[in-house]
Amino acid sequence: MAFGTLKADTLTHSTAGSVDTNYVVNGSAKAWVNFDTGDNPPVLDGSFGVSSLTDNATEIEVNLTSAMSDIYYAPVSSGGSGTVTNPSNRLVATNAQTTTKVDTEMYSAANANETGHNHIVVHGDLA
Amino acid sequence: MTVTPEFQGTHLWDRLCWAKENLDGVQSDYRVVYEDSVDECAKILVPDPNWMACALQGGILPPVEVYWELAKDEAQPDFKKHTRGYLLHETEPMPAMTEEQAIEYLIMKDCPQSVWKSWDEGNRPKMVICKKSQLPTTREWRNSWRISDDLDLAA
Repeated sequence: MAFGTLKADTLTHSTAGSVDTNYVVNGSAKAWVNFDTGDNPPVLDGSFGVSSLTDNATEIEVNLTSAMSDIYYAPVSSGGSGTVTNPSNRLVATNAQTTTKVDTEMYSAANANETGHNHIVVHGDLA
Repeated sequence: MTVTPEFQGTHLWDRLCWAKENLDGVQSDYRVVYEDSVDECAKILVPDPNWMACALQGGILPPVEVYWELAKDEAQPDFKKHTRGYLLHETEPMPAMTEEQAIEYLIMKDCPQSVWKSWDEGNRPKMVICKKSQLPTTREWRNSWRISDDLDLAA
């Protein structure tokens, strides 16, 4: 299969205006991952741009394949308990530890370490 | 069989986009258990299926030494941002690896060097590659897990 390339600096709509393609590239998520810390150890159920997870017990590190430009990128997280009765009772904290490592930790709404579905998205500039 | 395009000089992120589109993920059965501090429990490294597919396919991932170079830059006290990111994109990509070679690469990328460079020095091993089925099936007492003292390393 050919690796097709469309090179353009600007996309222009017939009536709605134009957007520079660097906004499209820079605004896209650079990595994402979905995993369940109820599994032992957690496996990556869906992902992009991730090389591995490191299970540190209460914390899970997300290791990135493509390094970010600096440590001032933006990992974004959400979580869910996976139960029908109280699916939203989870908070996931993230921290950009290095340009290739995002630290994550899941809590219940009562601020206790918990397991559940973790969803992490990484935005920012690539190296 | 899917043929990898000539990727040297192509941004690594573009290569990963191609891989996501064209390769099926490979869920490895291998896990890496390691200890990098006497005060902390054992850590477990779990390979990503899409990354493993890239490693087995070949021609996509940069040599692991590139990550070491970037880590060296990042360790400098005056580090602000990477200026040698081109190493990820312009260094000749790795050829196809076996699953075992891919795990070795991943250890050298994502585990601390202090662990894998001297994993078998000291009174007991600091790192073990095992199958998922050899780990406990639940996370009970996860905070106190350690590598067993009576490992049969030949197994």
